Amino acid sequence: MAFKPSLKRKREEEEADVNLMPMMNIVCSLIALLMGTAQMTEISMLEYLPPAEAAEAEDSGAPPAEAPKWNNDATIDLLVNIGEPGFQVSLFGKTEPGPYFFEVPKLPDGNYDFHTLTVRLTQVKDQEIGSPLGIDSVLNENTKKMDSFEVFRYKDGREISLTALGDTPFQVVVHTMDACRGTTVDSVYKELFPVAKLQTFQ
Amino acid sequence: MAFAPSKGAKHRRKEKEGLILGSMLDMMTVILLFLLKLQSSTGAMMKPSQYVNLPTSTREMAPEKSVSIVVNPEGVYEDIEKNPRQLATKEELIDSSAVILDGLETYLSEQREFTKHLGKDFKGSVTIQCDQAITYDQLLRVVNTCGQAEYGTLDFVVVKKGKA
Repeated sequence: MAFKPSLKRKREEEEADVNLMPMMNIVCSLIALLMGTAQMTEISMLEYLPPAEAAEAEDSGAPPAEAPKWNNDATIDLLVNIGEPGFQVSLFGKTEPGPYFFEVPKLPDGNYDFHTLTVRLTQVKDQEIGSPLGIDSVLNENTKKMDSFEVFRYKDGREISLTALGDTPFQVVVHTMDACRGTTVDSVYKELFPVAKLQTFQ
Repeated sequence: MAFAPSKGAKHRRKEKEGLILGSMLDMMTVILLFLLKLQSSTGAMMKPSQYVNLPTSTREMAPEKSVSIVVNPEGVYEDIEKNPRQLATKEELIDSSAVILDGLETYLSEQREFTKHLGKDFKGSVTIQCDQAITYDQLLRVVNTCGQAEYGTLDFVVVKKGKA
């Protein structure tokens, strides 16, 4: 025998709502707090080792178990001078125009031509320094880890000395260091001279 | 003549009125996660000083907190937000006969001794927030002073820009 359906079944089902307002308040407060403290400009570090420190790092960091297989006491003495007419680039200490001393003049608008400097330094890296002979490593005192780097036929194959007129703004020096550090060719980053040394203008 | 109230209206199911908070909460949660990620990736450890206009660079290197100083055309200061102590005056900074900035050297030496006093390793690194208008001469004076005070690693704070 079938029972008659209960009349109570017609009663409206009450919806159980979660009260979201307190949660909304918390989330809104957190967003306001984080936006207030957020840094919209991304900062970075430009590490600079003074010449004496850089030399110590090179001399002391070689792995003691194995002597280097290369003998690269020769130096290229690459120097970029940030002067009034533009950049002057010298190799092997040369100061007379020729293959080992050239200039990169300023652009017509008076700004330094960082792009051409990078192009010329890429040529120097390819033609004068060539391919790396091997990989060496030094102990990074800060991270306590070994940092590996390429070794070239010139002992200072990764270094560049910078000099500038006394009134040269720091921003120009930083851009010059950027131009000397490396370049991106076909989406591949090519290291040029990442170790910059600031020297007194001669 | 007044009409009698409709019987249908009496039994009509009352529709709930109000905001649909579910989707809004989803959106807020996404924003919250984004901001948390931003906070963790940039690192709250290093905050650019309000007293300098930092240079831009393509260099990508995570900031680290160490002994920190601010160099702007008005002088050299310790890196704190309010009432920073002046370590070198504008006159000292532009003095062409000076090689070392005495006040800065004293400060750096104090910090070095304090680090050693705490029993921590002295790494010899100093973070410099240097204004982009500082000249090469002034920069060399600061660099020489840091070297004199046995700080061998100098980290310049820059604003990151896209690779050239």
